[in-house]
Amino acid sequence: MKRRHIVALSLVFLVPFVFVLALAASALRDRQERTRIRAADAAARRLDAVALDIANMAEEWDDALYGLTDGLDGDPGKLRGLADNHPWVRQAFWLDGKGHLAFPDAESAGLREKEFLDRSELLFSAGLFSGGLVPTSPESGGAAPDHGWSSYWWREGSQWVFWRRIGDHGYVGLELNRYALLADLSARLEPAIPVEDDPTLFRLLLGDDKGAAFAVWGSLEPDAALRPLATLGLAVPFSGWTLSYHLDKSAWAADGKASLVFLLVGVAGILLAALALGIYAWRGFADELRVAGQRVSFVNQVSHELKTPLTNIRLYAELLAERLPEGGTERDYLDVIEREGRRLSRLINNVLTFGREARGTAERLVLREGSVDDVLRQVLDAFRPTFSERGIEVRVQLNAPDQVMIDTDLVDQVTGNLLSNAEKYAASGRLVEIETGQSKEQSDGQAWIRVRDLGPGIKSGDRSRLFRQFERFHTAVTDAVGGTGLGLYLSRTLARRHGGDLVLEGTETGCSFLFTFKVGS
Amino acid sequence: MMKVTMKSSIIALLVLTGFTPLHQEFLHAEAGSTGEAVMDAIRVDLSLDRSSFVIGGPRTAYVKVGLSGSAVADRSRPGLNVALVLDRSGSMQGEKLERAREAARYAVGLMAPQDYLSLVVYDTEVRVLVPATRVQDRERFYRAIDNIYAGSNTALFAGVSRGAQELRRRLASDRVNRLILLSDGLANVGPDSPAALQELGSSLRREGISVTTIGLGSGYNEDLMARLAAAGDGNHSFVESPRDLVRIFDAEFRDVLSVAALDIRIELDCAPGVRPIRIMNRDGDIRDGKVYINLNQVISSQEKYVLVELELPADRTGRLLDVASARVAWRDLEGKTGNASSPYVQASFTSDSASAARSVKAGVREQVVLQLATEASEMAVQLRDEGRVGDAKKVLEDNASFLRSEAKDAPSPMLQVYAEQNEADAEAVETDDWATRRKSMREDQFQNKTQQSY
Repeated sequence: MKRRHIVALSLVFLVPFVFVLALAASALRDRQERTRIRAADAAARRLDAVALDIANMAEEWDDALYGLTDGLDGDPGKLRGLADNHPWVRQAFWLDGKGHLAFPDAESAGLREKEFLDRSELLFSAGLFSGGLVPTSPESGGAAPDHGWSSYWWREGSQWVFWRRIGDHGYVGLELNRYALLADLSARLEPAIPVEDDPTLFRLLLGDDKGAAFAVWGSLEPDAALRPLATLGLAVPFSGWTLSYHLDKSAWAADGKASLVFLLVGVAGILLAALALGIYAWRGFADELRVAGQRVSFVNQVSHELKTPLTNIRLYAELLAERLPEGGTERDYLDVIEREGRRLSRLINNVLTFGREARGTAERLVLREGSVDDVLRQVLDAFRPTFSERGIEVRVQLNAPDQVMIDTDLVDQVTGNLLSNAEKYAASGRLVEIETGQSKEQSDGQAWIRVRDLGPGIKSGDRSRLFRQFERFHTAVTDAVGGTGLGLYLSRTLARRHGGDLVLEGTETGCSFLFTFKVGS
Repeated sequence: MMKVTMKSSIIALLVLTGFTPLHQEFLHAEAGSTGEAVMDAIRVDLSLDRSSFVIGGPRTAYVKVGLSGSAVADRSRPGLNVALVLDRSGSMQGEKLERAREAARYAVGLMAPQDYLSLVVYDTEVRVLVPATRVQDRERFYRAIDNIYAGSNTALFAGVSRGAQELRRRLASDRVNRLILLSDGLANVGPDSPAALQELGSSLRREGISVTTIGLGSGYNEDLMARLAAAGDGNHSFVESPRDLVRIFDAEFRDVLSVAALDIRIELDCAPGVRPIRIMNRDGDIRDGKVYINLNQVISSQEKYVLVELELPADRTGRLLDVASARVAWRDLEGKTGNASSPYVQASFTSDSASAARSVKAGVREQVVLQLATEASEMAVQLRDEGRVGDAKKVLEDNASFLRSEAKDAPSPMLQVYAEQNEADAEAVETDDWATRRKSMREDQFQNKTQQSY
């Protein structure tokens, strides 16, 4: 089997296989992505629910502190009472109607209040209470809020302040015990995680404003490469706090593994099917080849069988011809027998040569000393009667007289084919010109034989098919005539074997075949 | 305004009860409903460290407010509301957790059917194994305890928060509400700084919840645990070996059961010219010449005291001067409020330095020395933390000498023991043993300041 067939066959398998694989990989990726997006949505919803819980708790604190500040009006006794007794309050302070800090004041401040005044310098200068110490709230638009939350940084972290405007009198502020509130959050926060969730696969983390973990659910310890499926930032008073949800890849990529296996199996199946198909086709092809080979062998065998009787016929015809006087009718009859015998011989030779070519067992050149012109004369002798019968004039120019090393049988065969074609197809032209020549170099010379006719010629569209096997052009002329369609194909093969070529020269009328071949000395 | 009412009630009491200038014991502003004198839940003892000062000499005085609960036998067993918060982080695996379970089972055994107990465990997450429930079905608790297994991280803040929440559900003014925290490691989920836990502790104390912390092994943060217990007005122990856990739990419950009164509010009123400088061994506030200290409970087995440093006015008259008086309010275990006031303790200035020296009251002086030495010990720890090993060692050695000489003068075995302790501490400052030593020093400092019963 030829290499290009193997290559073609391999491509037939590989190209679709690669294509399908690419499709499969792409489909798999898409599917994984879809699963991831679904998981990310679910995670985001979970975080939303937790954020809502936290916001609700903050709302409760807000309500409680609002209630706590009812009835306050700057009275130091009440403010101190709150700070002394309420678990959530570190210090209570009062801003007057103009926004100035009225309580605690530096003169009457006790130990704790002095500490508060020290650290709250930051509170009042941080711009949270700007423009004359009037509290500003992050919310804007609509009526100015009458209460809100602020925070400022001091030492270990942010300090929370709840403030409330009391009519036109001023503002009460509560510096809160942040950890008391955070403890409340910690104790009551319970994310609604479905029971069937495997805790080793996820981690829901609430991180504080410094990025430290405040609360963790789930025992997954994600490595640096695993990014959270969802994150969410929280609102006041948890500004800077975040919720994040990590899910182990195996939880949503597990799907992918099964799909991958499934797809690989499918692709392997396709590959096997293609392979089976290919093998089947190849075997069919091989069968065809084998049968064709058998036919060729058969033909060869037959031709060989034919050759032996034919040789006898020609031999005895020749012997008989020698016994008969020239010019007699018997002699003429014998001439016909000899001519036809030669023609038959040529036909059989063609078939045998073809057979050998097909089997790849072509004979080597048999070089003998001889001259091109001599060979040509011999061939012409054989054809002259036929030509004159058909009214074809033969003009000859022989210019290759030198003794050279040529395969005379080969040259004979080729020239015979050309003349046979001319006789069969170009009789209407009434003229055949034959020309020989050879180059002047001694050792690596070339010789050529040109056979030209004035017949109908070959249509330009048909020229490319001319030298193919079994090709016979269907024209009015040719259909009426016999022929195997092998002549030109074989002739060219033989010409090339002899180091030359057989080409159709471009002519306006008729055909001109140029047969070139190498000649040594 | 407050001083006027104080003075009137003081005069009234002086008339009624008589007094000695230096040491005032006093009580009863309220009689019981039957009209008979009722034994108060607390006995209050106000004393100065000395009654005589040298003219022109140092004017620093120390006033001690001592509180003792009435004897256990005189009253009924208090109702308890306890939350056990146990660390089950990975480091507790093995013997520690086994002994912790054992101690917890022991605690369940000490509770009475009318007591409330909740069992909270934490690692990365917090679980309430048993919510605050009457201890009637002990099996339920034992089963829950048997199912405690080690986990991974340490969400200490969350554990304490959850325990407090359980306590809140059964919080009552006639119960002793206590959170007992057992931890062996460093908090790594949630707030983990000593300051954060201190703030939480102070908030819980105001709710009437006391927090006791037990540090197990050498891996926990002693500053965190000690400050939480200090702010939470509970007890603190350093337990080196897990085998001691049962004993510690036993002592803690004895402490809990010996509570005589709750929600104690002390108001120390300084006479004009007398300036309160600082409160030595407790957290409190100083305002307008008054000192305010709150305690969650007072026990019967041990006197608890607060020491306040005062500055007396310069005086050359030699007259008896009022120094300070105290008013104490509390709630007893039946939920009834009680209070007591004292007349002023007094002092005078003299040119006779010998008699001034003789006027030192040994008991109070001993307590003053202990508190001063404890402060020095804390200073030494701070120096060592800053890397100033040599300075730390010197402070401890000086402290030891100070204690030894005072111990001899008194005489005081307690000060002698602490002197030896300081010597050992001084040696340990330079060694690899420091991490463990620091824990035992913190424990000593805590117990000195709070007069822990065990």
